[in-house]
Amino acid sequence: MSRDRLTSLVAGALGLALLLAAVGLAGRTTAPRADFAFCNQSEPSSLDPAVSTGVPDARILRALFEGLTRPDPATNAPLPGVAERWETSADGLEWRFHLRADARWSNGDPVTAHDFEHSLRRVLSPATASRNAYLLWCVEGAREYTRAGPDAPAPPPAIDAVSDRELRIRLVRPTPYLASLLSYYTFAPIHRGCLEEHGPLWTQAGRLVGNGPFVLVERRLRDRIRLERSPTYWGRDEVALGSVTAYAAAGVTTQLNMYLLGEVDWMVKPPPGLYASLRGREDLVVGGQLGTTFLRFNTHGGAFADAPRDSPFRDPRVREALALALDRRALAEDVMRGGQEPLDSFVPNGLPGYEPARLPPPDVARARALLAEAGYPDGRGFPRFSFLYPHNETTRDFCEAVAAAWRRTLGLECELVNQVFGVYLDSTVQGLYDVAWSAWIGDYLDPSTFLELFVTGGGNNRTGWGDPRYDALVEEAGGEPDVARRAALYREAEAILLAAWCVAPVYQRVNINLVSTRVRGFHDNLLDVHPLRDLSVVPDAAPRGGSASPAGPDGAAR
Amino acid sequence: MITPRTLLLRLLGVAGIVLVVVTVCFALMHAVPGGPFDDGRDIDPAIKANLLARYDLDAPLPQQYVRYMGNVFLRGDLGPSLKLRDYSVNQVLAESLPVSMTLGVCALLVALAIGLGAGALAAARRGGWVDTLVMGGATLGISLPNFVIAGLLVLLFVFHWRLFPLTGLTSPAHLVLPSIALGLPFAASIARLFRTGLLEVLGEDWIRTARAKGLTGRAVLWRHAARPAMLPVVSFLGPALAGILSGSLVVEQIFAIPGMGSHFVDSALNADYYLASGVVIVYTVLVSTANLAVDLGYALLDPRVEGST
Repeated sequence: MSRDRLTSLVAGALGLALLLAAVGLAGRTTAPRADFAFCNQSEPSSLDPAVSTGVPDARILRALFEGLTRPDPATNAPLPGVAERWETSADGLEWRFHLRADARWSNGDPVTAHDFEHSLRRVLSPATASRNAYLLWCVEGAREYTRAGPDAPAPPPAIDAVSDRELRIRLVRPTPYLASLLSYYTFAPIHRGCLEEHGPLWTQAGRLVGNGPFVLVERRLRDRIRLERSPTYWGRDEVALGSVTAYAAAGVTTQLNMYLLGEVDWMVKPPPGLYASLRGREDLVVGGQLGTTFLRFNTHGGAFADAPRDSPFRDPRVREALALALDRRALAEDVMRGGQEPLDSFVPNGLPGYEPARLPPPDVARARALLAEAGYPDGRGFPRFSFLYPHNETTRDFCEAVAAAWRRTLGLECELVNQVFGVYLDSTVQGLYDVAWSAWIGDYLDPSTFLELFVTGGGNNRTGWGDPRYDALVEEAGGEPDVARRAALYREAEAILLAAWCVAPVYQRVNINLVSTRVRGFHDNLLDVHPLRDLSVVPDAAPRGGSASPAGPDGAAR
Repeated sequence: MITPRTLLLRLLGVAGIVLVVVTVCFALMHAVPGGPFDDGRDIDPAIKANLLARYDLDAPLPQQYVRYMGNVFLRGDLGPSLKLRDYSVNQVLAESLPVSMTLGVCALLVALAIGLGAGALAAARRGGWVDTLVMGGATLGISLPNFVIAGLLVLLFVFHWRLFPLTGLTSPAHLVLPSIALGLPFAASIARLFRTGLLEVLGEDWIRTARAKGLTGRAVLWRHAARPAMLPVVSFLGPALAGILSGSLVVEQIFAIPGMGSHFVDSALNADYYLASGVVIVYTVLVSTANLAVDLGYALLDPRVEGST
């Protein structure tokens, strides 16, 4: 090969490389910075309300669509959305929603009760395969409708448009939180014509027709989503932001860097290790979440499918001893160090209209006595047991601290077992553990979202525990139209749950947000829901980040 | 030189590798407990059945395998993404592959430009302080992982001097830091290889002859010694490309670049079977064709090498 050929080969390769680079960059123009930009933590799984799941989805969907109700940005209580008012029958089984006259789709069509009839039934349809369909199974005929096979379709559920502006929903049991439930992003309406015209690809920018405060302008996969204020939204005068960019960046250090540089105005969950240094900043918004971190005890002893094995955890005294030996405050404040508060109930604090049942305070002396009573004085003769947790650094630190506490106070040795989340989940479902780290985050503001977990044989129970009295109370509470009596029944059920020591609550989970001080209308709340509709920015204030100090590198990807 | 026959055989080999990799990947993903629709909450059996049916995951595994392989190899259809439900795997790859390729190519160019330059400089000043400095730097470069380099670059060029943007990929300026972070460790390897190659060649008799004819040091280095000294560098490019592709996932995350790296990690973690498999196919094809291209380039540079090695 001659020198010329080598030169031309190299030149050709370089040219091809540059061409590739040009193609890679083509169409990537920079729009001016949006009025408000935030880190959405990940790419939404879908922009179809019925099939999407996950928090990043919810932030975008609440901007693109609006349900019958919408959550209050401060309290999460249901505010009028497309429905301007609603009423309930005396027995709590029939709800009528009256739609506002000026609700419009982004293409100008009016939003009608028929749109809701179609969309809500679509969520429940087996063909849609919605993960969240079960949330509406309080509706008459809904469960049967979702569960029907393709060969034997069931009649549609009792969601009916009485007129263009009135929707009637009939329930199988009173559901006082229905209005709140309907503010969930899954139950937003979709435009039937758009779906029928474009099929499964209707959610693309340029095609998607929504009825929310914003419209979809651009979506770049795993990069960004651009929204602009909808000119047809009924409440457009209440929407302060003209444009919004949501970044999909997943690296938490990257997100923090973007925030410190002022590229975004809001990031969720700054790195836990930095909490101590962020503490006290006026742009740090911290508050309790509707979520509990707790331990599950395998009360069955071994796999749930097998005959019960001899295990010390079958003895409630042993479980109580292990729970009482834990200093919940120290675990929350010294180990988690992210603003978490110790929790002495299973249902977290802050639910309106519900006062949880309480655990006794930690008591090492009593824990030791109980263990001795169960036949293991000073932990002697207690078999080594497994303590399972899903693989994650923070969770590991927590579990190691718990294990150390048991060793120190009770003389018990456990084997820490960590598994990838999916595998961990499978192990807890099957009962392949002795003690397992656990967390639960509620879907809506009602104790049922926590207490229904532990009914006998429930899929999320996973402790092997069951008590007919508990099941009866949960069932009765679910059907009780009187709000105060309902809460009392749930409280009674929670007391039974706590007394059984099949779970040991440790701390209430926490929401941590970094929000630029130029942002207005951002409120800490239990569900950590912050509708873009209700945010605004002070135009002339200097963006936060002037005294930016960088974060360290991200480290290896998970 | 390479005959068309050996080329064809090599291409068939690439196809064979893809087939094996996809099969192994399919088996492994389905062997791991936990499926794409497990998210920590109990799922009603009917809802799960609806989801599985929606994505053709309810058939027996052998049947799923045959259908999947048929779709991939006959129709080029890599299936739907289970976690990015608005996209097919083909669409995901169409959006992210050009991004990753752009980054990979730029990183490779950075690696070659810096590596060859530094290697030549060190060889020309053999034994001097320049040599020591360059080789010391190279050792450091090889031992530093790319995310440490990325962190330092961000610290200096984004926060301290504010010369370059941090995230995204909307202009050529966005490519500079990620390409350097990704390419630098490979530049270090290339520098060492090129220096060694040059020193070896420069000791040969025919180089002494060239010098004796009165050629300058620079002319001898670039016109006569460089080509044979490139051979080890070229054979390093195959592994380098594989390293750049697999290393890019960390750099992509730090600079929030929407390439294939994030899809690779997330699809594996989320049991997004079709997407994980699709990304693996693309990586396999890229790495095996790159190795093939390296072998071809090797044969072009050194006629003594048969293409069928």
